[in-house]
Amino acid sequence: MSRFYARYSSWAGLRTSMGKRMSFFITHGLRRALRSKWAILVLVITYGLIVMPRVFAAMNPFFAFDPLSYFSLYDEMQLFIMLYAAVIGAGIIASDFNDKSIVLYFTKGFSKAGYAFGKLSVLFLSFSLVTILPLIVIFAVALISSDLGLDLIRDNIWVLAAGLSLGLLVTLLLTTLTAGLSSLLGDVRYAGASIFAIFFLSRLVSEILLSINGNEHMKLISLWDNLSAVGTYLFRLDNPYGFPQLYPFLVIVGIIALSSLAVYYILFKKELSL
Amino acid sequence: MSVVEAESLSKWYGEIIGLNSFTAKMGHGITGLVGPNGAGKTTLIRLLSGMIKQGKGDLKVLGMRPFNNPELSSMIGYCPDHENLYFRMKPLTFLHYMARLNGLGTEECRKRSERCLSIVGLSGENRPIGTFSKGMKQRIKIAQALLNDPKLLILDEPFTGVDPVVRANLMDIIRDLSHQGIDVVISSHILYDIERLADDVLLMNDGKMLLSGKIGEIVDIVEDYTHSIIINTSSARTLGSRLFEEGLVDIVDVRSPNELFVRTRDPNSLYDFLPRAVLDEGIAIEKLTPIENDLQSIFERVVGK
Repeated sequence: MSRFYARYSSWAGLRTSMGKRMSFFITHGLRRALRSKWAILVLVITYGLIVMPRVFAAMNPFFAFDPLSYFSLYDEMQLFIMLYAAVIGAGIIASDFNDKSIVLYFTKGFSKAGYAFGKLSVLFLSFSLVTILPLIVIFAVALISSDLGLDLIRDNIWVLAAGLSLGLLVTLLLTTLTAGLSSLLGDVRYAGASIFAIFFLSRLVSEILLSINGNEHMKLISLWDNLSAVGTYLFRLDNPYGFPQLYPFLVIVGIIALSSLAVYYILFKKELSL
Repeated sequence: MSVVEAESLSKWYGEIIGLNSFTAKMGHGITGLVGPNGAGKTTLIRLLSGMIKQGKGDLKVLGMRPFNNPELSSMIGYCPDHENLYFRMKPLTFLHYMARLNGLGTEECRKRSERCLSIVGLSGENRPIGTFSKGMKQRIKIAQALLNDPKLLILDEPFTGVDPVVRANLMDIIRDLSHQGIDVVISSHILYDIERLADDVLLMNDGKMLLSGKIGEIVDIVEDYTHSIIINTSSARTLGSRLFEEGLVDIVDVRSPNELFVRTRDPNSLYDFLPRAVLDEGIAIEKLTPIENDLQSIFERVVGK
């Protein structure tokens, strides 16, 4: 048989640094995640229905730096944040298991730690668009709309810090939880459904148990109530819960730790016998 | 230095044994792993590529332990048996992505991706990978394995499901890669393919290695036991009876009026007798096909099938 293909030749070029490779991996992952039509839809709805009205409200000096206004932003956005997490996060690792392409990363000199860091970074940055960016935008508009006096900034900067802290906690929780479920379940559909279900089911179970025995601690079962409870502490609001706000914080930290452990186990300890 | 050194390598999947005290050394060139499904070939390939870890024993690939070893994996080109491709991507985009992950700069990566595509004969293909035939997907998998300029290429069943033309093309490519200095470990249950490609062969069954060595050496070992021939003759039944009467054969199988299969422990006497049968008894023999050099017969004999 006659041969018409090119012949193999050794490649003598230099390799780029791991930092550049990682940067490419993350930006490529971000582009891929944000190109999803569902992700775009959820973003448009979230910004259109919730963030933009808040931006206009922030122009009113009366509401501009009101802690309750910033705190309630997260409560209003929770449905969309969950949807967004399911849309973006479900396939982050599961899709690489589904199409068995995960093997390709590890045969390109890419370490498992690098892979995990890259995937978690993609999730963190994607989720920041709905958990941290709206707060920054609203705060910036509030500042610009005010007289921009140093005193005003000094007096209210803690509101931004509180919002950023809560946003960071929500983002970390979502990042690790979705990555954990995505890697544990290894199936995009199941992972998506379970991300959504965990928030709703935990709230439903908590409500049912609360109505049965009236014990306020039952709210610790609900993921979102835990975040809200921590939020009330950060925004210096009255504690409406019948337990110290440290408890929900510990619950959230526990879930973050468990989810991280799941990612670690699946990627580092489990063999890739696809 | 051996390319692969395995010492008492064992791997269990629960209670199922994938590899059982497997000891082998693989040298430079093309090494073929041959065995039926469940022989342990894929387990061995996954151990070599660092995807899984052995339960017992020691394994070194290019002098390094392969499990979770990014340094080693950057020297290996791995082509798994499954289709681990992004089906929505076009071939060049896919290779470009893989090359960037492998640390090639933007311009280098474009050149290298195009080069690897042309090596496997897929230059100019601009459809999504999902629309490709099995053979084209196999070629893409080989192309991605070449991106990182591997010292060792590990190919798991690369000929599965491809037509004879593609098979021949792939063999051509693999031979060429070997000539360029890349060591190749290739597994297949299609023995015909391995026989024509590999310098060294490892016969595996039930997670164990049955035989290893140069193909010629294996034939020599097996020749001590039995020898099989297909004889195309004008009178298969008559010739079969005569050979049996003379005590020259252990097995006679008249496959058709013109084709006779025989197995003997004394091939020299058999070959001495056949010309006499032609001259003295007027039995025409059109063709003798000794199948000792065919890996299939060696494998079947060693496995005892």
